[in-house]
Amino acid sequence: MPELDLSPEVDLNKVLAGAADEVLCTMFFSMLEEAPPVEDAACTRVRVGFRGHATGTLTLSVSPEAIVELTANFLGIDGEAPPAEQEAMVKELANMICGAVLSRLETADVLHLMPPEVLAAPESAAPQTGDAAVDSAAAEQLFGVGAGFLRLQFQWDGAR
Amino acid sequence: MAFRVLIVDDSPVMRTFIRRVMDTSGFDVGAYFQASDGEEALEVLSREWVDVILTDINMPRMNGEELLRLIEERKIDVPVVVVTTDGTAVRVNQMRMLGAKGYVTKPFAPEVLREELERVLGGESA
Repeated sequence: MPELDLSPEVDLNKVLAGAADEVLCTMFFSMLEEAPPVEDAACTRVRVGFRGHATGTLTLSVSPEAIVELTANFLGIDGEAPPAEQEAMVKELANMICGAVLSRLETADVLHLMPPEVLAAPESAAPQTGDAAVDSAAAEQLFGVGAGFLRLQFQWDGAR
Repeated sequence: MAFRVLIVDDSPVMRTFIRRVMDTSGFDVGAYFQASDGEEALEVLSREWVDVILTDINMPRMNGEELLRLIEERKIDVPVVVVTTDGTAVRVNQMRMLGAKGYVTKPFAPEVLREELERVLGGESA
């Protein structure tokens, strides 16, 4: 029986937005804004899985403009960081947002985060919802960050 | 007194971030050592003495939980501060039971890490 608090009162989109806002403000000194219509093709995508009494993933897509700004803010540098550091930043950002989401869904047991993995190609499928057999839930949020944007997709797949 | 600090995290940018926070928080740090997992951390500890260890939990090869277990088992007398994304009460309690002297949940404001380090190090800093 999954113990993640995903009762109807829990608005996953609000949880996702709150977690992202906290992480961006606290450690990246950046504000989330309303995002204009965007094209994800050039984004760097990272997925963080979690497992335990429930499983799921958080997928983060970040535009090149946002990556440059967020990496500079995180490392306290002027200008553009090397690509390896930019990728490491996106991984850490995804890791922290996923952790913040799960912390907000305070669980009765430990959920283990998997190492962040960079995805090779854009994913066209939106998160699936409403599968009663696996007790799934999902949320997706898009935010502007400076001249760029980031997209978050959270998928909870229920108990293993 | 200048502190010798070991930062254990598989994310190089997080290691840099923590170091930057310590540098800008007034800590007198004489030496930084870095490790990307528990195994590397134990290698560092076998040849260097440090005043405090800051470690993540989720890492490849050897995670922070196993590192804490081995530090206790080998009676390595160095305070450990866990710095991780998992802020659930059950995880915090688990790490404290394993011997962690401090716990900071990511994301954290710089002053949160500074205050936790001051507490763990007995107010000898900043």
